[in-house]
Amino acid sequence: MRVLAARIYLTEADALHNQILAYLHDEAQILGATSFRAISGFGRSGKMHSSGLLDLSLDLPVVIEFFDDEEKVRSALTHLNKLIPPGHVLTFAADLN
Amino acid sequence: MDAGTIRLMNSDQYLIQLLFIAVGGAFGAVLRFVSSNGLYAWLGRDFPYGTLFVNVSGSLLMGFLYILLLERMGNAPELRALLLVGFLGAFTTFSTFSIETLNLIEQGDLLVAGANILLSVVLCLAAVWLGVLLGRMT
Repeated sequence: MRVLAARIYLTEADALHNQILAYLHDEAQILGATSFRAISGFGRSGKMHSSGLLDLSLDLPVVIEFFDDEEKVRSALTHLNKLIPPGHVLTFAADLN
Repeated sequence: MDAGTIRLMNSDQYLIQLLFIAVGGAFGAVLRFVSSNGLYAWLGRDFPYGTLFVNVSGSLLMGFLYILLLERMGNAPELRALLLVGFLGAFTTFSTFSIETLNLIEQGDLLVAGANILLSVVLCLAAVWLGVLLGRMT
C-alpha cells in the first residue's frame, strides 16, 4: 500500500504538540501517529536546543510523524498548516508493509 | 520570512516557564537553608556538613528527576522548569554542575568535562578570593 508520510518539526515551547495529536486522532482520524522528543537540535532561528545543558532543556525539539492515504494526509495538513508556520512540515511517499 | 518569525515560542510561554522557575526556586532556597542549618545543629560546625549534604542530596535528586522527567515522562517542560531549574537549581547549583558534567562524560567529551570541573573549582575559588580582596579594600 502506498501512503503519504508526514513529519512535523516543533519544539516543546510551541505548545502545539497536544493540539496537533488530538486533531490527528479525533478529527482527521489518521491511521496512526507517533511523537518523538529529541535530545538536541536547531531550526531556522539558529538557536540550539539541548538536553545536555539544563537551562536549555526547557524547549527541546519535538517531531510528530504520521502516515495514511495521500488524500487524508493532505487534507489533515491543509488544516494543520493554519497552526504551523511554513517550513516545518515534511511529506514523502512511502510503502507500507 | 525572517528568522525571528519562525520561532513559535511566544512570550506567554516564556513567562510561564519563568513563573515555574520562581516558585520552584523559592522552595529550593528555603529547603536549602533549613536542611543545612538542621545538619549544623546536629553535627556541629567544624566542617561544612550542611553545604556538603545539600550538594550531594541535590545531585542525587537531580540525576533521578532528570531521567524521570526527560526520559520517562512526556511533554512537560513546565515540570522541568519547576523541579530541575527552579527547585534543584536554588537548592544547590552543584546539582546543575553535576548533571551537566555527567552529560558531557556520557557524550564522551572527557576533556570538556574535565575542563568544566577544573574551571569551576579553580575559577570559583579565585573569584571568591578576589571578591574578598575587593571587599576588604572598601
